[in-house]
This record gives sequence, C-alpha cells and structure tokens, in this order.
Amino acid sequence: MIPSPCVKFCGLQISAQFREVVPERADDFGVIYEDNYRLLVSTAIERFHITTLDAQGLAHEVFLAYFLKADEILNSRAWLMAAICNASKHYLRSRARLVSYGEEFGKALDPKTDGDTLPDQLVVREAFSCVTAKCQIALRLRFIEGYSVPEIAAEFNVSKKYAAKIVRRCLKMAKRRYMKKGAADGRP
Amino acid sequence: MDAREGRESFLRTVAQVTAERAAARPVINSLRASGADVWDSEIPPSWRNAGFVQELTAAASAVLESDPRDSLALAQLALAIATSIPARRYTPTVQAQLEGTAWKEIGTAHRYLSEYDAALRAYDAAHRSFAAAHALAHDNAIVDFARAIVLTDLGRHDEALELLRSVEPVFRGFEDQQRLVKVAMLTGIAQYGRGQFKDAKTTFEKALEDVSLDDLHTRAMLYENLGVACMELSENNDAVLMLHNARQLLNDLGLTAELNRCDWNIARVLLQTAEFGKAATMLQRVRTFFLEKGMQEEAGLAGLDLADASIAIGATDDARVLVFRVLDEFARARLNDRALTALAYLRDVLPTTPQPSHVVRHVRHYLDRLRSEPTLLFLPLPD
Repeated sequence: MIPSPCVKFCGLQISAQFREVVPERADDFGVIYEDNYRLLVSTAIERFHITTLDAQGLAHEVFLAYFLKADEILNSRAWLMAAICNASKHYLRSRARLVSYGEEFGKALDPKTDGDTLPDQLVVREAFSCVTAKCQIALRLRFIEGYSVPEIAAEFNVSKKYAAKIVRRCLKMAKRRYMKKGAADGRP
Repeated sequence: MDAREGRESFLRTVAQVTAERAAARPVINSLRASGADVWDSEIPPSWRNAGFVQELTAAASAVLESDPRDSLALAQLALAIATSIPARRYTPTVQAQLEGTAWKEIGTAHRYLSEYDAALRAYDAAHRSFAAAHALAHDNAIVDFARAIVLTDLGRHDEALELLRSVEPVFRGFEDQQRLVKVAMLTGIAQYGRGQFKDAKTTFEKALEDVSLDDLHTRAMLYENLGVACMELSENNDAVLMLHNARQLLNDLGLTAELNRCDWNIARVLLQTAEFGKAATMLQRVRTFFLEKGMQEEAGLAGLDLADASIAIGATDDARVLVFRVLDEFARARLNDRALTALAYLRDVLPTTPQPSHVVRHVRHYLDRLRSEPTLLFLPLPD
C-alpha cells in the first residue's frame, strides 16, 4: 500500500462564528476593563502574593494583550482570568531569576561593558530605522536573531552568496545613513 | 498605575491602534493591488505603527492557504515594520505581541512551503518575542502548538505529542475550545504518523463530536484526516465519503490549497480502487495547482502519483516524460540531493523495467519518507 502523503494540518485560522461580539469602540473595551479590573488585580494579589502595584501593572498588560487579539477570544472573562494567572506565574518566574548584586559588584567591571544595554538597543533600533525594509529584515536576522548566512538565504529564498552580499550591503547602508542622520541631528 | 490611570492609558492605546488599523487598511489594499515593490525603499514613517503591523499580519494569515509565498512576504514586511517602530512608542507587551505575531506568521508560511527548518527558527524567534512580556501565555501556547505541527510534519511524533500534552492544559485554562479540538486533531495525526491508524481514526471521530458545528475549517480538516485514516485501513467507501464531506466544506471556505490536497487524497483512493483514468485527471489538475503556487514537493509527489496512474492506463511514455519534468523541477527548486538521486534512478530505470509501477511506488515511498527523514539513503530496488 502506498503511504498517504498528506495528512496535513492547516488549522491555525479561527472561523468567526460562535464568538462574542468584538468590541468596536473604545467605550466597549472600557466596560470590559471596568468589569474585570478588580478581579484580575485581586487574583494576582491573593493567589500569587504579588504586590498591589505590580498586580495593577500585570492587569494592565493583560488588558493590552486581550485587546490585541480580541477578535479571536470566545469567552472574555475566562480568557482574562487565565491570562492573569499565567502572567502572575511568568512574573514570579522572572523575579526568581533576578539576584541582587553583591557589594563588590561593579568594582572590577570592564568599562567597555559597563552600563545598561538599553542605549545600545536604542542605537540599533535607530540605525535599523534608516534602512530599507529588506535591510531591516536582513540586519535583524543576522545581528539580533543570530541567523547564519545560509539561514538568511533560506529566509529570502536566495543563494548563500547573495544573502551574504545583502547583509554586507545593508550593514554599510545602516552605518552610512545612521552617521548622516546623526550629523543632521547634531549628534556627536 | 491605579485603576483610573490604567483604564485611561488602556483606552488611549485602544483608540490609537484602532485608528492606525483603519488608516493602514486602504494603504495595504492598494499596495497589494498594485504589486508595488516596497522592499528596496525606506519604510515611510506613517507605516511605522502597531495598526499597520497588525493589518499586515492579518493579511498574511488570510492569504496563507491560497498563496503561502505571498503570505511570507507580507509577514516579513510586518516584521520589518515592527522592527522600525520607534522605541517606547508602545508598551513592551504591545511591541512583543506585534513582533511575536509577525514571526509566527513567518513560521507558518514557511511550514506551508515545506521549509521546516526555517519554520522552526521563526517559531523560536516568536517565543523569544512573546517571552519578553508577562501576559502573552496564550500566544506562546499557540506557537508551541504550531511547532507541534511542524514536528508532526517532520515525523518527530513523540516530540509533537509531548508538546501537545503541555499546551492542552493552557488552552483548557483559556477555554479555547477550538484549539482544544485542534490539539485532538493533531494528536490523531501524530498517531497516524506512528502507524496507529485505528487509534487515529478513533481520535478523529471523537474530535468530530466535540467540534463546533460552525467551526467549518476544523470540521473540514477532521473529515479529511478521517478519510485518509480510512484509506489506510482500506475502508475505501468511508474514505471517499469523508473526503467528499471535507471537499464540500473546503470549497465553501475557499481554501484552495487544502481543497487541492483533498482532491489529491481522493485521487489516491481512486488509485487504490483501480479507477486510474479518473485518478489521472484529478492528479493532473492538483499538480498544476501546486506548481503554480510554488509548492514543489507536493507537485513532485503528485507527479509521481500521476506517473503511477499513467502507467496503469498504458501511457508509459507520458509517465516517462513526467518523471523527467519532476526531476527537472526538483533540481531547479534546489530540493534535497537525495531526492534527485532517487528521481534520476527512476528516470534511468523506467524505460527498461518490467514493473514500472513498482519502481514508481518505490521512489514515491522513498520521497515521502525523505520529507521527515532528510538524511535517509536511497536504495534501488534489487534487480
């Protein structure tokens, strides 16, 4: 017997029926916020022992996540409750990974790596914003996501040689345009 | 942030993104209609917002079935724009959701194009994006589920089943009934992949009982999978019935790629029931469709089924020409070298072998396995 080629799964789309009416106006989202805010905050505080301030922040994040995918949520209350529980667990896991620095920390730091990485991230983002759409992707894949040249070639459906050329050209473009923009903005 | 401040901030974001989406829609429609190449231009500042990215990812999702290559381009553009959004315009949750969703669509488009490594790589990136925020557990589970689909396609059924066991409680927590049914369906597919055809059939039948009557897409996929399981169990009448149920729903939904896969399966049942002429007509049509959509592997495999049907109706010369074409298509698409070796063997042996159907099926079976075992060596049939 010939094995079947195509038991295929193509099921990430969600059809639109049997769903709550998606709020269309900000007012409707306001009602959902009011109806659920206290419940979410108290859940984070009572079930997960999270401070009030952080619980409020988590509830806010949950509402944003809800809004961004409201068109595929069937039961708002259940979704929000599950989201706050998962968000609380994620928050606690993140906190558990944070360890306070010892007193000696910082004394022997390499000055090149000293300081926050945020300015670097901002610079990268700004530099990327100067280039074409294709270069945005190429540079992001190579320097943020750590793609190898063959992986970039697969992403663009081009040869490895051409992918390497794209990355080189885009990097030059980003440098050139970022410097030019910096000069125009009066950046040192 | 207290309740009042939080509400106001939330509603500001809602109003802002809603307005951005409304403004983006006509721009994207006109871009798609004109076919303008935006890749070599700097992204206009007016596009650099969450609404534009959301509209692009929605468009990518909408065309996934009919044109996965176009879907990939739209999702990549969405990612490029998400990357170019000025820092701190949105909260980290919004930014993470935008980037993660763009990555997810990139991964899924790759999966449709049978580019599995690229799909898994993209899903990794989606995970990293979603993990940057606390509130995106549902999105994360959706990506895990998508990853389980790829693992199943790759024949890594045990890993897929493990992943499915981990996402099932998450979807249950979110009361995401539709995805729970899909988890059941994928479980059936993994069972099928392990050769547990009866178990798979039972799982699909159970899932059909649970799926909402209005969830036509999932219902169609369940019918299709049930049909294929019946075919494996040589329950050909049931197989055709289930596949026709699937076909009708897929046709209503306008899901052309899946409709053609369904026709392909019906043609394969016809091969089993020795209705070779009908099978050949259907296979010719689906192969043309796959070629037009750049789905080279599917086109090649359907081509070999067509060669099988052609040999059965005595058109051996047509079969030979077809094998040449498939070999050429695979070479141009830079598909696995081992596949080329197997096809070259078929090309060389077909004119002289006394059992052409046997050889075609041998190579066909090998190519099918090669999709999930890319390093599998090809062994010719013994003389």
